[in-house]
Amino acid sequence: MKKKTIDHTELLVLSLLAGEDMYGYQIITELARRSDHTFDMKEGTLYPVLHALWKEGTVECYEAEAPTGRKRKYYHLTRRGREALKTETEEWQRYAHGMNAVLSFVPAMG
Amino acid sequence: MADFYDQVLAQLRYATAEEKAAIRAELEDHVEDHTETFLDMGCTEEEAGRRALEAMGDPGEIGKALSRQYTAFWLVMRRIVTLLLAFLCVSILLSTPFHRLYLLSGNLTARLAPERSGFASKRELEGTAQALDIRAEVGSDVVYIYKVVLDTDACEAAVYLCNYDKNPFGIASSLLLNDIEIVSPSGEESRSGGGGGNAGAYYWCARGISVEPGDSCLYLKYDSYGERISLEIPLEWGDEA
Repeated sequence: MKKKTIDHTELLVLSLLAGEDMYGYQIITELARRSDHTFDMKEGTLYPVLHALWKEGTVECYEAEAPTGRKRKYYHLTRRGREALKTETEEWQRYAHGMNAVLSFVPAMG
Repeated sequence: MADFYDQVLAQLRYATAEEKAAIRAELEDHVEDHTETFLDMGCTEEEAGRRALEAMGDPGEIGKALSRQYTAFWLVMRRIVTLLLAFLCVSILLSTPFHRLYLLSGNLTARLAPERSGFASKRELEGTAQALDIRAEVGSDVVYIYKVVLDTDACEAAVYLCNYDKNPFGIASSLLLNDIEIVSPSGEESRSGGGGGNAGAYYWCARGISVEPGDSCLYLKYDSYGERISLEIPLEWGDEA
């Protein structure tokens, strides 16, 4: 079985940022909302993921005013991030397809 | 409340103070936002704060996960880069020929404002001073006569001169002034035995040269190392002729 090159949380975050720049708390709430609460992670653990992506260069950050009026650290998907998202999404879909194929396999009745 | 963040940061052995402060701020902001949500839901302030903090998860776990991004490797890299930059600066400074700048300073002073030089004679002399600008090339140097003082009562003249290299960064000849003679029309000579300077320029004040009233000029003569020059140094007697 091929080893996944990207953590699924990282992939989810990249996917969210593809739509718009977001700050940490916003990412958490969006993730929960879009996944119908499937991904209801411990919120603090988002930040190591974000910092890892930042170190990789797939996201960059800046300070901006949030809708709440407060200053927040926003994350932005870089071009490199977009490429990674595309590659990893394809990889994930291949993986998911493979899993589904095996799990749904019904042996022919002999 | 402070406990939570401290516990997270405690795991970051190799992060800088700035990085830790940034992480703390980001986590605090998150908790602030979540607290707001709970308050909107009707919780008390205390409960909202508690639940928001709880939702963050285990601080040790968060800290440990973060520490994977703030490793000793990057701290070492940062230190190495800083050291390399410092080394680079030092080596640039050391290779810069500061002595050349020193030469330049001395050379330009002689060229443009010889009286300003510390080596130019400042001794007050009797008589009238006359600023001059008589220059001649001698080898790779320039001889510059910049002043003459004439004591019409004592019939004595003093000549101020210096030499500097043609190249502003060059070293002036320390022997040149030694071979210069200041000659009056009557034949009294004065040879450089004193004077001084440094590699940028050398200065000499030839004093006590006897002159006859009406002598129109003195002569500077040089004849060494295949170079020969003869310059006229005008004398202004004023009303006395």
